[in-house]
Amino acid sequence: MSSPVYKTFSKLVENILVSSRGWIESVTVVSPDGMPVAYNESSPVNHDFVAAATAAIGGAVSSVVELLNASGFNKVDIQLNDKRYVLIRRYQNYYVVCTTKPNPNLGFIALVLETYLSQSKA
Amino acid sequence: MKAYKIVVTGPFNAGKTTFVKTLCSRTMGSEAASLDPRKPTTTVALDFGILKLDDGTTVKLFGTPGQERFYFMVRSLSIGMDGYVFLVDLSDPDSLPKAKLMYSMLRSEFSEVAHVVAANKHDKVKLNNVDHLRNFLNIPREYPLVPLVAYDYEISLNVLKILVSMVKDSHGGD
Repeated sequence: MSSPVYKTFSKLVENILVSSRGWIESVTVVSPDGMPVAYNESSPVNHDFVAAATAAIGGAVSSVVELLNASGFNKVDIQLNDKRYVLIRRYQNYYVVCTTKPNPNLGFIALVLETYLSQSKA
Repeated sequence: MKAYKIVVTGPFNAGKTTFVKTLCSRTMGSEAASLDPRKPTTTVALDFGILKLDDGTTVKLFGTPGQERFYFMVRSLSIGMDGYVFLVDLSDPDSLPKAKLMYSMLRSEFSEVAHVVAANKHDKVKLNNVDHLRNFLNIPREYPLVPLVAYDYEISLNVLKILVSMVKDSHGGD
C-alpha cells in the first residue's frame, strides 16, 4: 500500500502511537466499508478483523443515532473485562480504532486523540 | 492485489454463518442465544472471514444477520461491497416470502452490484424447479441461481468463485 491516503494515515497512526507513551497498543484506520486503511504492523491485533468489527459497531451505533434523531456520533469506548479499552473515533470519513493496555491513562489518551483527530486537523 | 468485499446475506436460518465458516479457516462471529426453536443461536452483528482463492485473489466475507429486526446491519455491512451471495433456505418454504422482500430491498438499494442467489440445503430438498424460484424471487436472468449445500466446502467455494468471476468481469478483470 503506497497511496496518498495510506501515507497520510500511516503518519497519523505513527503519531498517535508515539504520543501515547505506550498506553495505546494498536491503531487501525478503518474505511466505512470495513477495510483496514492503515495500521501499526507491530501490533499482534488482526487488523482485518478489527476493521470488519468496527464497521458492524459503526452500523449499529448509527442506527441508535437515527433512532434518537441525532445528527451523528463521534466516539465509542468499550471497556473490556481485563480493563483494556477499545476506543473508536470518527475521523473525516473513517474510523480510527485504538486498543490500549490494561488500566490506561484515559485522560491522557483522550488528549492525544483529540490533538490528532480534532476536526481542525482534518 | 485488491481484496474483494463479498457480503453473505439472506433471511434467518438460510445458512449464512455456515457458509462463512465452511470457507474460512479463521472466522469472527457474533452469535447469541436465540429463542427460535429452529436454531439455538443467531447472528446479531456479523460473521467475518478471509480466504484466498487458488489464483491468489483475497476475498473478505461479511455475513449479515438474517432476522428482520437486524436488517439495518445488512445496509451498514453492504457499504462498499463488490458483490453479494444471497442465500435462501430451500427446505423452508415459509421463509421464501421474507427472502423475496429482502432480495427486493437489496436489488433496489444495490441494483448494479453483482450477486449470486444460492438455494441452500439442496441436500434436503432438491431445486427441481429453478424457474419457479427465479420467478418467485424476481431474479433477473443475468444473475445466477445455483444450488448450495453450505457445509460442503467444494460446493460453497464454487458458488463463491462464480460470484468473484462476475465481480472481476464487472470491474474489467482487475
